Amino acid sequence: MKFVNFLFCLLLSSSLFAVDTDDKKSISSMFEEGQETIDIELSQLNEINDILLNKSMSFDVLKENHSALVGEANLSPAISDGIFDNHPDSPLGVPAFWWGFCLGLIGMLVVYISMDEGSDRKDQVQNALYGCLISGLIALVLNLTVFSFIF
Amino acid sequence: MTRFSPKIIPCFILTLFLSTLGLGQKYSQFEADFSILEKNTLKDSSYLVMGKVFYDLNKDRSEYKINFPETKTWIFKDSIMTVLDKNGNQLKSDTLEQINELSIFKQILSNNMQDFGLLKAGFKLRDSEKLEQGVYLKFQAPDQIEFIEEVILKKENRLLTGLIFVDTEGKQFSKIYYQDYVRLKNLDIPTKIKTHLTGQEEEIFKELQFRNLSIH
Repeated sequence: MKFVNFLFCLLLSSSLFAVDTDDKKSISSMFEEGQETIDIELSQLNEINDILLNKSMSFDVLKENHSALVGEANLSPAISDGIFDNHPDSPLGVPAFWWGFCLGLIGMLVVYISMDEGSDRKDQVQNALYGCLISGLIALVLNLTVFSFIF
Repeated sequence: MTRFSPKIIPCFILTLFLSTLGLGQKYSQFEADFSILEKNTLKDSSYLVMGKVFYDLNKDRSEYKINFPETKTWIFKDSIMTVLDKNGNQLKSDTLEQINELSIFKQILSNNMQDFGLLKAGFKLRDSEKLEQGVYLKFQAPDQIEFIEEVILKKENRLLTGLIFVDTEGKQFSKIYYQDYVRLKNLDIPTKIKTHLTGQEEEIFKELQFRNLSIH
């Protein structure tokens, strides 16, 4: 009977260990898989970027010398076409492109809500944005107070 | 499962506080060459934009001199955005929100890259886990952001290397990666930032690259 109990415990512990390993694998693989997806989707643009870093050239010259690559990537010849436009519906009146430079939490969320039409989400993020700015100001005031007290 | 003791949480917060006090606002100017790669699955075109960026924290002014695919200059000062053509002639000027306030350059110069601003935005650290690949921290969203269930943050060698945003339906709607860090004047700066956003219909892939960085 002791032997059966031992086997049972061994089986139970090994199954728990298996779940544990899967869980660990899932959290790390979530990050790894996401990165691979981005690299694959942007591989042609990265190839064009490398070409331009090696030798600077205009869009027309690039298209002439690397027509297949430019064609496959559907590379836009202008920056006023789409991402730079200040569309009336763009989040908080900021062109979508510039949110690319706003990689803080709220900037990312604004990009996300701009992809959906839910006004509720927009309100939530706007509130969060103002909250973030206010908390930033409070932190600044606190820091200044601490420094003025110390020095 | 390897769990950290609860002591890690105050230590984490203390580290953030000390790093902010020690290094914040020490440098005020950021300069770099950049490339932005963007692909949207719902759009016909993809985008590659290259140029040089200058950011001044004290003046709250950022300037983007773009040289590919066409030459233009974009200037953000306070809440005014001005666009100049290749000859320096003004093409347009718009009033925007305080976009500089949220810029990546301000975060870098203010040494605010440790937690992506999560704590400042009201997120609460609720779990942590150390694995071979790095340390994973799970944050719970504040009440006012109802559609986010949690944010998972990955750190390697104390540097922020990844973020995953999960909504209330369990969908990982955003993944962000910070790679190829360089150390410049005691600041750790990622030279590659990759993003994958998943909407209801579209997916946006974006990569921001920095080269020839300079901080004053």
